[in-house]
Amino acid sequence: MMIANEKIKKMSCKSTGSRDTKDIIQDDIMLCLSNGIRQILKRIPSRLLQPVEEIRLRTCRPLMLHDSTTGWFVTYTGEFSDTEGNAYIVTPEDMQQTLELVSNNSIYAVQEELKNGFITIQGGHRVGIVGKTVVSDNKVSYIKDVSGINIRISKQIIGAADDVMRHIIRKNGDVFNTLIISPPQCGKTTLLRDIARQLSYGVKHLQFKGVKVGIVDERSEIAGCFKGVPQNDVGPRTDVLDACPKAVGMLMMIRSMSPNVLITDEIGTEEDLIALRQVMNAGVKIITSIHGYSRQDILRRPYLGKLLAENIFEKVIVLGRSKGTGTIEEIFDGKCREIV
Amino acid sequence: MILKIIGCILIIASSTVMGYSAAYRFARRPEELRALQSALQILESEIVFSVNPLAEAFERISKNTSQSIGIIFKSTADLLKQKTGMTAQQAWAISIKKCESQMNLNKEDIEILLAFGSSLGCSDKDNQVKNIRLACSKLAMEEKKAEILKEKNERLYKNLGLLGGMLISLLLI
Repeated sequence: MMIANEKIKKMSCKSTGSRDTKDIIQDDIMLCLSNGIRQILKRIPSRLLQPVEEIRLRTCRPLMLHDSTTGWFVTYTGEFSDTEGNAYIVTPEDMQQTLELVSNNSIYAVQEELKNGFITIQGGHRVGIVGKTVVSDNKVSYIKDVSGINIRISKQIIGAADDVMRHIIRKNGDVFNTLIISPPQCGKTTLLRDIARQLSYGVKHLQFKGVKVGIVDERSEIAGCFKGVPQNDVGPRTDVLDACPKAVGMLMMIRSMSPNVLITDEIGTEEDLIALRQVMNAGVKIITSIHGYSRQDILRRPYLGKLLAENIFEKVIVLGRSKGTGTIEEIFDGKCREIV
Repeated sequence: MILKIIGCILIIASSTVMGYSAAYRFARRPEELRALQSALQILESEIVFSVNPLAEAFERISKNTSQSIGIIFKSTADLLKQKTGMTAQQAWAISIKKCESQMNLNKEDIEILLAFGSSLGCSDKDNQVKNIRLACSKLAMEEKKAEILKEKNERLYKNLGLLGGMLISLLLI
């Protein structure tokens, strides 16, 4: 295995088109929080809010904010604290109000989404919900007595894929089948989203013209569709199949929209891989991601290991956070050679 | 003498108007109760079939419902659209308070509406439908009562106004 000098490269976070966390919270998130919590968030200085990725509400427990590695308790005056002593305690009213506002005062309109445990709000942010489930026919039919709400702030980073585009794009204007391996919260969705955007617009300095991109967005995270409109910029030649199970969705997408490149997040089940093979056999290029820590880690997995050993992925990108969230740790080509 | 006649005419005219307006209230109430029920039926189909968010559904209802009733729905929709963190229940209660004087409903009717508002939008479809049906059946009962009151009182108040005016003028002459 050849080890190149610049093994690790930090993903560049150019700010063009990216918004401040404070603005995102002000514009999108505030609208669906209870008044009590709104007031507290307003008191937090924007410097502290900048790294925040999650807002967590738990009934009768402290209000918490998280970045990718740590969590803080938030006091009534809007200060961060490491201990829960002075933290603001989320009231049941806060929870009920927040739940109502998240659903636009219309819980009945999101009850299908609620069965999956999350709702996507305007801006493409995901609101995860837990509570007591009502089960019928072995399926969750409703969540009542909501005990926890997690708002994941989706931050599109325009240019997040700048460093990987040259590895994904082939010389003749084609695209490599690519697998992104990443631990949770290391920016794989952000990377996929920007890859989709750049492939769709085209990459000028690589002489790559935009191609048709199909996104199968099972968890509504890549495009963040709200009422059918992608809230993130995923490019002009991109079609999004929103909230569709991946295995079914991938086949639907290639039949209905004939994309050149298919993008989907977090494959893993056997059905996913069967569908993946069919997509590749249809001549459609695929870029996808999987939870994992290294290539070896994936090789040990039952189905995917086999797929990876067959070298059907021409490029494998491994993400980590050795130099901050979204560090590109390694890039392999299909024959296991390390090329970065 | 002429002054007396003019005075009498004025008294009779004004008491007749008062009588008619009291009678009008009795006549309007069943109509408004009917309008409310049909508005709630639209809401049911908006929730079950179109699955529109509450603000949108209310706006549509306000366009298809007579002025005096539609105004509650319009006002609620406007409040919700401002996204000030108000729950549907709060917006509904505020709107009813605001529009109460323009409607001819009585206390019981208002109470039914407020009770209906308490679970507005904050449960799944089935429970929303149950809530709507419950409010509708209560309103239908009030409507029946209102019809009876109308039969009884409409003509009574009209006549009372006219005759009362005459009586007063006779006494004054």
